[in-house]
Amino acid sequence: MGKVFVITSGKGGVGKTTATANLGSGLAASGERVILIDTDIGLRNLDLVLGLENRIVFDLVDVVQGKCRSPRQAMIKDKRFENLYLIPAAQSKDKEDVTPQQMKTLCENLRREFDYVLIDCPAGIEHGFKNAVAGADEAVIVTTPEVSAVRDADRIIGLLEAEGKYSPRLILNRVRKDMMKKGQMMSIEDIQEILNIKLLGMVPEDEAIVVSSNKGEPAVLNPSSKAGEAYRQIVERMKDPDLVYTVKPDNGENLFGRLWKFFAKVEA
Amino acid sequence: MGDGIVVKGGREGLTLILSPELSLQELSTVLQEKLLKESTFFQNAELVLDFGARPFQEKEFSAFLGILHSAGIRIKGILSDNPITKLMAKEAGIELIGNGSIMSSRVRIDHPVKSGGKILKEKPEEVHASALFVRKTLRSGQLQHFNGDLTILGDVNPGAEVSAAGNIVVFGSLRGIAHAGIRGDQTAVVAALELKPTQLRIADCIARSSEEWNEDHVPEMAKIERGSIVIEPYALKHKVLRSLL
Repeated sequence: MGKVFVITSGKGGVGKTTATANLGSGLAASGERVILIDTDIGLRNLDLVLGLENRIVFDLVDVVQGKCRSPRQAMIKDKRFENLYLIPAAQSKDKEDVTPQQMKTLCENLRREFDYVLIDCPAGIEHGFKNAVAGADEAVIVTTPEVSAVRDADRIIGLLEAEGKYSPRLILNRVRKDMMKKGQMMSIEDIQEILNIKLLGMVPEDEAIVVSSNKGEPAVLNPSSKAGEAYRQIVERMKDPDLVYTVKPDNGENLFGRLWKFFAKVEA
Repeated sequence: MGDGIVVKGGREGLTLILSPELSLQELSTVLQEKLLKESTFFQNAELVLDFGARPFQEKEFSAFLGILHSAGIRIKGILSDNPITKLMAKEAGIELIGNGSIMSSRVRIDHPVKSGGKILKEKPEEVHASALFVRKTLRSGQLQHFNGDLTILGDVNPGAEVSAAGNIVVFGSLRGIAHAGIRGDQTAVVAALELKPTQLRIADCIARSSEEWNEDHVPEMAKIERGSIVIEPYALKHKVLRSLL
């Protein structure tokens, strides 16, 4: 039986879709059978980020309303991985065209075939959110180090708890360590003081993400991308819940610190 | 003056202000002496007692009242800043006068905004006899109301709101909105291990947070004093109280 994850944030534009594409591709690259579901009906994006737009025939609404013979017909196979599939959102319909119960049933069916079902949640806390969350047993919260994003993430965690979904895990996106050090950006401590949930990982701000999204090639597959490296590590932690992300202490990476380490090594 | 008991004439008649510096036993002795010495002055007097924030055990309270009774003194009412004392007074059928003690205390005032807050349009409740204990963190958008005293073991995050007819105690960080005495009880207090609310309301008073908080995380308590909300460190007060007990 596969696991069903929802990737959610409350606030829009923090990187849910990018995270879904990268986590999905990363999991598929490590050999897992993965299906991604875009539940942002009316504003579908996940297909673009994966570069699969031109292959869409059927969509999520067609699947739940039985307009295609089976869910299989709407599943789009990824360009790069045999074991990665996408069920795209409908573009011209409403979020109300799908019910939470239908999503539950769909997820139950899909988890028999796949190791991971990743659901890309729309922004907001209305019907679309309820659909996305309904079938999931674990949640990944994406947020950025901004008060508004953190506030919305907190709201989402509360709503998930109300649905009986505890212990969501956090991806902190668009981190700029230099700004955090200077105290110009919310630090991980500031954020955890409010959210207080397990950290899956931090993804640094990376221009390569913009390029890769536009090209439809997830950054996780780019060995030279810093954000891609962060996602590769997050994938490992997703697969093994016992792996905990610990924020590396700033172990004196100034000149003196490095000299000290150097001499310590020489002595030894 | 000097013996720990100050007699003051006020609107309500004679008021005895009982110094918090004295222990209850010392206070009884001094009081008895005073009553004996000036028995004619106190004959058939109706007195108001100001206890400040002094806490009482139930037995102590009734014993103290017993001394006054045996000296032929009638108690017209009491002033107190301590919610439990107030409760005991109510149970003993003694009237509560004013909004609390008239003793001055050192406090820091936090942008007080005088009345203008909304309170529920029902009559102030007589006594908040019941309390609710909530053992979780309230996150943004979550509300918790209780028609009595409310205790939260967890944080109240920004965007969350707690309200109670009585007092609110947060055993954690209070960063959201808190409204104590929502039915108009001006004696209600809000206390938290870390009191950093976005907005604080007691009865119909509103105070908003200062932009800059002091970084020392000491437990603090907010209450209404002379019509506006004041916040004072709770630990400091607690020390004073400890020396009394």
